[in-house]
Amino acid sequence: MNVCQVFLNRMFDSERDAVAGDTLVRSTRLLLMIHLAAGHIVRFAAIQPMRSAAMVALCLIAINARWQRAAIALAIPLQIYNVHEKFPNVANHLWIETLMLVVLLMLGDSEEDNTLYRQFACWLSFIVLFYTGLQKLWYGTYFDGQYLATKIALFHHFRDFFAIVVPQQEIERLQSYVPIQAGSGPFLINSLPYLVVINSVWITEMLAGVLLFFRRTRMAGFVFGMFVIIGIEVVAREIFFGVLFVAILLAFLRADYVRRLLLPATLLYVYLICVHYFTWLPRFTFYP
Amino acid sequence: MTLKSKQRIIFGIVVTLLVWPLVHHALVVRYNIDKWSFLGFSMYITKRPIQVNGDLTLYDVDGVEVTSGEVDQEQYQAVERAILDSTRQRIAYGDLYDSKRLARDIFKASDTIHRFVFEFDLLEMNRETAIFEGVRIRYEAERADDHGNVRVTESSRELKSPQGRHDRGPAVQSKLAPDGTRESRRAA
Repeated sequence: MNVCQVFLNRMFDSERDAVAGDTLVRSTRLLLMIHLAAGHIVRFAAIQPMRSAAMVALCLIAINARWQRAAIALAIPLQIYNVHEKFPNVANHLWIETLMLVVLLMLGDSEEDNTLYRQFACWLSFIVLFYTGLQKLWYGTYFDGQYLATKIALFHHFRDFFAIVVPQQEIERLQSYVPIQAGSGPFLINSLPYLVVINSVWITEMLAGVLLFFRRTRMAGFVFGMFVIIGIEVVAREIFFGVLFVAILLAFLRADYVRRLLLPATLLYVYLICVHYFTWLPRFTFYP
Repeated sequence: MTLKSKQRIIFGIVVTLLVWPLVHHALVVRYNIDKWSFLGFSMYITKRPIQVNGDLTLYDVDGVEVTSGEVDQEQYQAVERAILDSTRQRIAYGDLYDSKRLARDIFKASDTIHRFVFEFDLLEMNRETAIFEGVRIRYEAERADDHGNVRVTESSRELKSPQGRHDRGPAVQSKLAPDGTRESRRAA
């Protein structure tokens, strides 16, 4: 066994964990294409309809398993254009989508390739969770909750959630600093429950990463990882990232759970597209 | 492609992803690049610096002020896009930002403009006090010759008041040079 295999087996053992008749690659390809098509509809349908139509067409092609890799190969230039357009301010989930496209294009449908995809997805889950927690520790802006205090001041969906742990007068004080100018602040909140919640964010992220790293604690890491995603969805409403990351995280489970995710994810995306374009639906803030 | 080759590629991607956040952190510390950009996994860590209160004054070849209405509308839109783009670039690249880029883009966008002054506030939260501190940056540029060369001067002063308009004390060190200003002549 070479170094690459030993390294990749660390997160998903090709001997012990491999799933017979695995179809995860196929399901993930389709989910990713649905995800990209929905994202293109929300972002570009009104301003660049042809761009959205192209991604939707590729998504429809990807429904047929035999054409999935061709659809992905054609989706890559669209995605690279997307990255180029936003560079250097490219959101991390856009990078992850691009990376997923490249990996899923390279891998076939064989059992070995499915295992290799799982190894990649498991490592990716670990890296994202561990480093997002570690970076919060490095920069220290979660110890006193300064950064999220600016979010509370600026965005109602952050206020909706943090109203549980932050007194109303504190929220009003933070809101009084908007629009932000030199001298605005301090963005500090005198509330112990708030500090507990804020600091549990980076601790949970790092803990999830560490638990995922060891075989014996992997399931606990998976649960913690799901908690992180639920937290992000409830507070930050990064719904599109949430669906994508849940699909990546599901690679830890020894069955093709992404296939079961396809229908609910599609329905969720259809709902979000409707919310985005039809004003008669109740407003719901989310980020594609 | 053989399974071994695929394994090597996946291995390479994963190792790069493992190492990159450490490199990114070093770049943030050393060059002040944006924590949110360049796949650093440090999004949602701190608020990006904010650029506000931008004032742009344009001058023609005779040194006479040109209003936005006097510039061709398409050209003026290109100027506005250049300003917006430079805002993003300045924040993303930090100390690695090429300050002449804005001048080159604006002079390329409009032949009418010979010189311009762009003043704006750059705000960033002080991690210790959790209060936004800012600097008023004065960016002045003029065409150096007809070959696309530009002359750029940039200086900054600390801001204090909530309105962000009142100066506090003498000019602080410019980002470009210790004496506060610097003229640079380099081919565009």
